[in-house]
Amino acid sequence: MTLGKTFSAFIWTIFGLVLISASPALFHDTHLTVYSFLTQILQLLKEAIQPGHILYVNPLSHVKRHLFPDFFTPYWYSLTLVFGTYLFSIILAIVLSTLLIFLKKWTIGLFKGVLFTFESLPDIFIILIMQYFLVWFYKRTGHHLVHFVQYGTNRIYVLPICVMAILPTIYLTKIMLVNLGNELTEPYIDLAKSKGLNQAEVVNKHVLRNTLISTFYHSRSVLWMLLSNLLMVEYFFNLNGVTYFILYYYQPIVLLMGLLLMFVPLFVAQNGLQHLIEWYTGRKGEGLNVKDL
Amino acid sequence: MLRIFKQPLFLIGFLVICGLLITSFWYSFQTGGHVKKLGLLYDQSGKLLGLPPFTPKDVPPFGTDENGYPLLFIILNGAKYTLLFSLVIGILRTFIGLAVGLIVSVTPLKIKSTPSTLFQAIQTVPISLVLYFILQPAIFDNDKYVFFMDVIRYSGGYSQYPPTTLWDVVLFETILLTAVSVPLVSKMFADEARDLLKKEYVNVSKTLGASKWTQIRKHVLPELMPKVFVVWIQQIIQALLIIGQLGVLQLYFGGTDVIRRAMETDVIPRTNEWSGFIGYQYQNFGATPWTVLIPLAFFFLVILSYNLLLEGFNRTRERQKFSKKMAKRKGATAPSKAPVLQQSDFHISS
Repeated sequence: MTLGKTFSAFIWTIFGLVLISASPALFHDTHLTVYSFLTQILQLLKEAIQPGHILYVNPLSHVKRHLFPDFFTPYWYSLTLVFGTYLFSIILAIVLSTLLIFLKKWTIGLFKGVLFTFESLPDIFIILIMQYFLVWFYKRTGHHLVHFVQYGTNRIYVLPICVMAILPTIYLTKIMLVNLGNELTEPYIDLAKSKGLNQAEVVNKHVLRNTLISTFYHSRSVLWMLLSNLLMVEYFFNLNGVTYFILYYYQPIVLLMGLLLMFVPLFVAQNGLQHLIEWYTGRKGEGLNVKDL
Repeated sequence: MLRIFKQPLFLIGFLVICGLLITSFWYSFQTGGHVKKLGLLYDQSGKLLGLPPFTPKDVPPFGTDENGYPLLFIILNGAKYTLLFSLVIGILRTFIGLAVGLIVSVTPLKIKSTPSTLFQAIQTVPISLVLYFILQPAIFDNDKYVFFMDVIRYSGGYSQYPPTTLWDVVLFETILLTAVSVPLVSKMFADEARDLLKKEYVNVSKTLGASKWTQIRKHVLPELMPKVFVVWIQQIIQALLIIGQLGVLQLYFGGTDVIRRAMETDVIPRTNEWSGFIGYQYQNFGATPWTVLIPLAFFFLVILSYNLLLEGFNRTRERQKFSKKMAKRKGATAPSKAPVLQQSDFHISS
């Protein structure tokens, strides 16, 4: 993808986000109301031009406040969670898969089975099991393992990141295992071994470095996966993040601003990563695909 | 085709899902949707043992909810709604996506590039959040719908609006849940079809005068069929996950009763559909955790079975491909096994 194409995709997606934020106005009960949809779009565009003037209303006290300085607190928190989870799951996947590759073949098969099972877990199930386990553990031993719910202004990071990282880590580990397996059949591995390097050195110095690029390339889609997990995590752990804010102070313009502000950094990260990789390797994206997953 | 049922993973997944569906229908047929509510429990000497909710230990296998209904009954009764609904949504998503994708793949490039990037925006948002805002008014702020039964009963004066029925809302949800994933699915099929249309044998048929429709029907569709199955199963899983998330946000697609009291609003699912039940029971998660975790475990079981089905399908396909390749290689090498030149072919000339 050239830079120009990326830019046009960016603009079009932003317009798409406007349409999505206006879409609740498209329906009244279950009837189509196209006219109010169109006026809603115009209204949104008009409001979005002057972000400093956007007001949000507290549904309980009906107090109006300016959206913008207030919105940044939950926004930074959510961004920290998303990118923290992203980095954590990449690191965890690399560590896991490099450890797994040293095991015997049937153990790898066993682990693949475990990963396969865990992959089917719905995110809600993971969250609730985790909550239940922590409460049970606290009742049993009287120790808090980690803070598992937000109260007041103290923010929790460890548990949400761990919970959100489970599914991406499995996904990335699967990709890494396939990549590492493919790379290990390359002829240069035999050459390196015949020269007297041991397995650990070969994996560390050559195989891992060659597969990392492809893994990073695939990890981009994880970012969007995290966004829908974020909603559930913030809902259940009562975290004051972006999706919670949107859910609580819902207005079309708040929805638009939330979606937009989450979209921009993720889009920049995703495409920046892609351009960086393509520039660094001199290969286009198609050459990096993992065929059989 | 029948060979696929010999693949154990496929068979397990298939049996679990079919078993759940059949048991669910059989069970609700047997009980007529009603089951004995457990009230106070006494032992033989007349000592009070307990009152609902019973834990799974008290009333095996799964305990009861706080009204005293056995969880086993609720889960079996609700399975049919959840499973059938996700199945239907999966079919709709896949086939509408396929149709749109095929149409897109044969249209000229200029027309399609713009809307496709526009619709891709839907991937970049948490979809259940947006669905929540669309569905919420249809379900909550609609007292005509909520008290529809009362309206009939008391034949009150709601005449200016036709009341929204349960089926309207279910239809509405189905359309929405389908619409949100059509852009993605159709793009995938369009890419796939475009690659196939570039193949040599398709080009040959084009030069022989095949129309676009013939190319699609004869060359693209047969190649796409396995992919269609895979996408169908994947979309079912996606639909299940979204239904679950919406259920947690208290939008129950199997009908929602909103009871407004003076101080509070109760939102009660009308059927025992799983996601609704989970969402409803989450309010009592602290007191009766099993009423949330056990239905969720069934959710997990269903998704796992679908994944097993998919894995089994892929493995069978790979084996077929492999054996085809082997057969081809054998066929190619077989004639060359006979030595071309015999010793008798050579003559030593003096």
